[in-house]
Amino acid sequence: MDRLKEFVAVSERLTGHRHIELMGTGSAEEYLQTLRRAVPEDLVEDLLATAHDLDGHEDAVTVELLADPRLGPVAKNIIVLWYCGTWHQLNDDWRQTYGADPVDTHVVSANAYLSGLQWTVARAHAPGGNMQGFAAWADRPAPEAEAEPERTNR
Amino acid sequence: MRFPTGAATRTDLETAAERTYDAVVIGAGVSGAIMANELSTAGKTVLLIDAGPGEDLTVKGYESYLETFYRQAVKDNQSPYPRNPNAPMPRSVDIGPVAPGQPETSGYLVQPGPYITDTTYTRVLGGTTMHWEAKTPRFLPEDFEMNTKFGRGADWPIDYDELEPYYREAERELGVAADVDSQREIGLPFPDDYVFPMHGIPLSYLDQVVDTGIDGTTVELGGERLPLKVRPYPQARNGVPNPAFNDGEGYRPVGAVGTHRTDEGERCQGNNNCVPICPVQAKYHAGKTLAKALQTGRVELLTQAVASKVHIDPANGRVSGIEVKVYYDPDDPAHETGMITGHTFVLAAGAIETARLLLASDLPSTSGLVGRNLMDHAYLLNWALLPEVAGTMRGTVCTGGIVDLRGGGFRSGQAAFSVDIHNDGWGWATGAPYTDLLHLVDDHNLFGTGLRRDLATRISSQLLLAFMVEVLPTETNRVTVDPAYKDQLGNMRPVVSMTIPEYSMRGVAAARQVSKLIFQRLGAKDFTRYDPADPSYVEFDGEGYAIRGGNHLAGTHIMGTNKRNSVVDANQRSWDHENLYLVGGGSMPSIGSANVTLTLAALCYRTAKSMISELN
Repeated sequence: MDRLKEFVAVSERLTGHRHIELMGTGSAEEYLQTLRRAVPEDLVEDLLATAHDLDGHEDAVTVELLADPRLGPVAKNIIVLWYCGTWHQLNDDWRQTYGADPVDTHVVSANAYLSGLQWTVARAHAPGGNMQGFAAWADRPAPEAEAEPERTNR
Repeated sequence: MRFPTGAATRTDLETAAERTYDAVVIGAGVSGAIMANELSTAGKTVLLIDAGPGEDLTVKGYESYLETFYRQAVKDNQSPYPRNPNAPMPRSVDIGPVAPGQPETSGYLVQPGPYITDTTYTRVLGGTTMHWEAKTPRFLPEDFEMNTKFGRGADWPIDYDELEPYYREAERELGVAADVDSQREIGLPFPDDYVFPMHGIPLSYLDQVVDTGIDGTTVELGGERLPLKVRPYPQARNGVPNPAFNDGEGYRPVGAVGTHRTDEGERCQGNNNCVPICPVQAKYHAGKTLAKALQTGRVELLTQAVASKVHIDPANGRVSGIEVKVYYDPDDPAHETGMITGHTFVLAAGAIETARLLLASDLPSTSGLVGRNLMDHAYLLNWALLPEVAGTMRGTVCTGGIVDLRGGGFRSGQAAFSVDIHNDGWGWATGAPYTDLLHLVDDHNLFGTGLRRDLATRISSQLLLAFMVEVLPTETNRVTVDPAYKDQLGNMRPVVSMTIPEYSMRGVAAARQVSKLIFQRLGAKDFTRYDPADPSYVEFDGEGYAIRGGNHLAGTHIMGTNKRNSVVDANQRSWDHENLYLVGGGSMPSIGSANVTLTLAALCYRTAKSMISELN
């Protein structure tokens, strides 16, 4: 698997979204680039490998990945990237310990902002884009699409 | 709406300084644009001077604001508008931690405190209507008679009936969508056959959930029982035109402004982004009136030009000219200075900038009231989670609210307020939904489908009630200038001293109780908390509240009946300088609990009529 596929596979588990939903944002490559710019390459590799090894062991994700002092903050940042389109700056202590660049909190791109998953899960849209049309706001919101990700091995 | 190509650069300081205009207007916001349009349509020559960047209004330029907005990590109400050290503007994000006893100087406004306001206004072509929410309620008849009716504040020198025809002109120009019966129900008189240019904008699903939940609820204020009901707000936003408008002539909505024909802006699409920028220009902004004014061929626009001093002829007190500094590049302080002359002068720079310019010019003032009586609505935010998914984050920013508490006998004891239901969730109060996501991920350790489900519910059941509380004129709430604080061009910055008067704080305390009652009726979980470290934190009666600024600035050149009790007369003409008009919110002696733009637009139509007859 190439790096992007691995990244999207990990992202599926972290975000609770299907491959097709994530690819549909058009932001996958930008997010991977952002990640690689902000944290050392060996850390990215370890994170992807750890997540891969945990496949089928959802209960262990919290302990082995999210609570891991080195990998956890980065895994959480991947969630934030997908949901908000924003890279959230990792704190000073973590950066000094693990040798990462001080990439500031920033919106990855206009498209990243517009495609944030936080809006679609809320049956809404990013303010300022992807509008629903005149008076759509007067209707009951649509029920959310089935949220369970596909469990296939790619 | 076509903006004539090259209009923003057609004249320059040298050329403009050689002419004598019928009227020189400072500020190309809604007041200045209306004045320029009315005067030029009547055949007068006008020079319109604006401090903002000097580019034609194009769809491409507008979209660059939008692109800037998309890419801002913090999407505050000025986020689309680039920083301009030569004509700075207040931004809520600039306010730093305040040390006790030290003035707040990190924002553009210098604030001695202890209360620090995060109020803003926008210094670009179109002014604050670029970022406004475009709610356009009229003031109530009683708002014009606060002293007579309630023994509070000041009366206006004109009443509702006098302003009513001008309200209609303003509603036509701004393109207001509302159903007249919904406005009659709250006590506003209209001519029998009146209809608004467009039908009302429908209430959001969220509004409907709140209305159903509070049905039958009343509150007691000052011994009166008042009903709670969600009603639609009139809005300057393109909806469905009413064919009955203007005796059956109908109304043609005004779309996007550009130098080329464009099909955008015909109807609101529900981008939920009125503040800070409507992506399609379905929302009115003053550029629409400005384009019309420029089409008359009698308006010249001098941009990147900051008015720095008003000169007076000491013999007769008349304004002889206005000194302007024209810069070449927002980041570069290099500029040239020139003198602009005209028969009449109109300051339309907003309540703070107009007062700042007058004070920086050190003009004599009989009343001593220039810069005093600064008013802004005191906003109290209350937020909760509804027990059901309510479709939050869709619609215009606000479609409905509770407006039955805007008037009543209780105003002899405490401030009135209106309540906005925010379709954009908790964003204003907490930075939601970004902060919700961080909370669920960091504090609840959620990920995957669990996160997806909880975040969906948390966002789409958010309810934010913004209480817009009345503030009365108080002479100690004021704008001053101080040579110790200057901007990059050397102009003195506004020094703003504000406290929230006790009368308003009683309204704030009542507002908090009403919000608790509403949340209780809705079965909503209250998440409201006010941080004592917030520079806008105010204690009253043992409770603390964070009071947000309303961007509804008024009072600094207050209107009245004579030169000792006011700065301008009922026509917004300066008592002390007979060829000088000060227009905008600064003229208002009260602001009730209605957004100020429609009323200041109506005042401009009335003033323009009187100026034209004077010039003739």
